[in-house]
Amino acid sequence: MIEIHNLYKKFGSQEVLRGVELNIERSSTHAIIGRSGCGKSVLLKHIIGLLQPDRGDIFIGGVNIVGIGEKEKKDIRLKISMVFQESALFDFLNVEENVGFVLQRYFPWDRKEIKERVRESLEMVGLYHIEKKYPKELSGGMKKRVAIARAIAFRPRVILYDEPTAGIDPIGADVINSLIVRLHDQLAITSVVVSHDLENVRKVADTISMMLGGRIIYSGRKDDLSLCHDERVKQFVSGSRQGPISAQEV
Amino acid sequence: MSRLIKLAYYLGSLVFLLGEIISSFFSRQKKNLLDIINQMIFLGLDSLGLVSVVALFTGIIIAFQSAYQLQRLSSEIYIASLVVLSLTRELGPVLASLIVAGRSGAAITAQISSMKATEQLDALKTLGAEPVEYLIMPRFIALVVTLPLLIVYADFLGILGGYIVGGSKFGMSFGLYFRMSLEALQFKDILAGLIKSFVFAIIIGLISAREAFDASGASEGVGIAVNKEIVRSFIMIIIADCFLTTLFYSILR
Repeated sequence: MIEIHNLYKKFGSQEVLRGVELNIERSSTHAIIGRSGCGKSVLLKHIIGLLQPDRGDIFIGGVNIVGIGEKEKKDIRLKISMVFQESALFDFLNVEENVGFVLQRYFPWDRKEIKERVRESLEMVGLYHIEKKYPKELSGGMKKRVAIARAIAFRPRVILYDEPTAGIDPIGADVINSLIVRLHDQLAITSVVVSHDLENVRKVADTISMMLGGRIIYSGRKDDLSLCHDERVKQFVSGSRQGPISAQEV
Repeated sequence: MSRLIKLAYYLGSLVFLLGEIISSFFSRQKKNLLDIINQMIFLGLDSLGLVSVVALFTGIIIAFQSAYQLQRLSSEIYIASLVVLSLTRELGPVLASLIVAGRSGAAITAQISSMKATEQLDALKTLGAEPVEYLIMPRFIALVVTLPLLIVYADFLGILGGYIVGGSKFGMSFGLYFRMSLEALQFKDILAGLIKSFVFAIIIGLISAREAFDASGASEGVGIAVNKEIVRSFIMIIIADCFLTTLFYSILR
């Protein structure tokens, strides 16, 4: 579904991506783990076309999205959606307008159809009767669920989750985890989850890749992670300060 | 030299942004009229109070300053002419624009830069909407429409301020004061004021958007962006005013 080859990206003198190679299978839930600042979110932003790489290719459904025009990029974006770390709900729109944003702009649907899809999407994330509320009236967990409802409202083929459980209490985090699993099963979506929280990632992913220093250093089945012999992976999995990854390195 | 290059780059980026706004205006995407009206109310109508106070008192100040000079020549009757010309050609457009740049332009920059800090601009793009088309264009149209109207309103209030001095201090009747004002005023003066207001609205719209897009970091970045918006808008308005006044002096004499 998503193939990334030899991806490089520099911001000023800082090289954030240094030849990323990654393959994400259709209908899988693929987690990308790694320390904060290792380039995970930057990689997600490349997949959805928010950032352009300096070098390399990104194939989505066989189409290379690097260097394509704005119109083609928009078409691709209607097949992929993203749940941002801080939810990124539009604070001047209510929940209904947030969730129905894409439907209202790009779908030839009438108001009733949009309303129905918004209600259905909110129900899928376990939210009821909050259509008229504004983001400032919602808790962090609710905002995250509304953001997920907005991401699934137009039934994309891929959903990218950027630190989906960050800043949420453990019970709220588990709700989000079970939601990611349920939506994946229900809608047969390819999910990409970026997180530094291994415990939560293990609950949702079937494949895990680990990123370090702008490269993917491990990719494999979830259960194989603990069997990996790479000392860097072992150190991250064990959460130890001692090992080849220095405490300062990001 | 590097400062000159930075300035050229900045001005170029404003021109590029103007191009983007114009092309998004003519795009096939349907326009959100309600949003444009809301922006007109927020950026224009809500500035009325502040503009009224400043314009009225400016009219009073100009009238007193003019009277001080004209008294020596026993020509106080020309207060009206001086007030109306100073306001329509110069002070009305400049003062109202500075108020709008400080109030409405800063609000645009604060809102959009905080949206950037909370990834809302990225979210807009991922949902197929371009920030220039969805956020900037309605605000830009609202500014370009409301600023000239605000300036005409400020001119009237300033003239009224002048009459307060002319009437109370020099015993001029309302009829005489306004006849003197209208006699001094020519169409070219109103046109000069309106052209300036239109140019100033473009400057405020472009700088407030540019600074918001260039903001980095969280709350600190928002503060810096707002500060830059106000300073750069003020400077650009004054420089543009100087150029336009020189131009009009040459062609609209």
